[in-house]
Amino acid sequence: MIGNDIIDLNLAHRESNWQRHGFLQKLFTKDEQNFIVNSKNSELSLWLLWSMKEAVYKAVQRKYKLDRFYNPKQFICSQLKLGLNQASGAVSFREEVFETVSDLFPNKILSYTANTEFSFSSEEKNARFLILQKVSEGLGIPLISLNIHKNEQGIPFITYNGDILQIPFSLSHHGIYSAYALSLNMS
Amino acid sequence: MKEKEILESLKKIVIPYVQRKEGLEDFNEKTDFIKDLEVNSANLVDVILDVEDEFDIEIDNDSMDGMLTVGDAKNIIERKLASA
Repeated sequence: MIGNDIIDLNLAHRESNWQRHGFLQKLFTKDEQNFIVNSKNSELSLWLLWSMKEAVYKAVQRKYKLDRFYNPKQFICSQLKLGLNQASGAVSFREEVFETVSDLFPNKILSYTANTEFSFSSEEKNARFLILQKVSEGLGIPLISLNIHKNEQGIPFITYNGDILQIPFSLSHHGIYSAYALSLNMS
Repeated sequence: MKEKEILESLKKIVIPYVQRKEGLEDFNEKTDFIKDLEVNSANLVDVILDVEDEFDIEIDNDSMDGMLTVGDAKNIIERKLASA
């Protein structure tokens, strides 16, 4: 299963006071907190780690059909390698490790699990349409027969003429951005 | 503290983080912070920190895990107040 997460950095800056007492301690492990506070740009590092955790949360929630939960410290970031425009890392959840990739832009961070085949983000709220377009092209089936629904756990799935397609994908919205991650080569 | 008072303080706490204001019209125990009020997942921690300050309690990770609705939050607050 795959997962993704987009962060609108301008919105995150406006909406969160990460320096407030308890904020980092509730969301991040000791090691993660140290990494954040010792970074040149602590705020950016914080949102990078947060988006990795969120992407992997979505991946495991789908993989194991879990009810929604809120426990960011169960997702532990490690092996972070920072490049100029991209970062890679790993997030462990219980005994399992998921590799992640993060695209770094001036105003946004887009993280996704490394098994993602197609990742896309835009300034329009059209990720839902674009992902269906990609599926339609990739599988050679008419766009009009495709739709997205959510199950009672809030997990989205793609349908073809009403039948559920086993296509791993993830959608994310934040602020002015929307994003999708998709893999067509996995069963 | 009465249930009604807890719900009223919870509503006051959550308002600054609500992105879907219609969700506040029918604010009850079933109201889901993320689904109904569209509180950003990174702001859910602010709600938790505000609840800790307001009620002078500590919400551990296990309690936080299941704090998805107003009712969940109310139950946690009641439990913590009772054991305080």
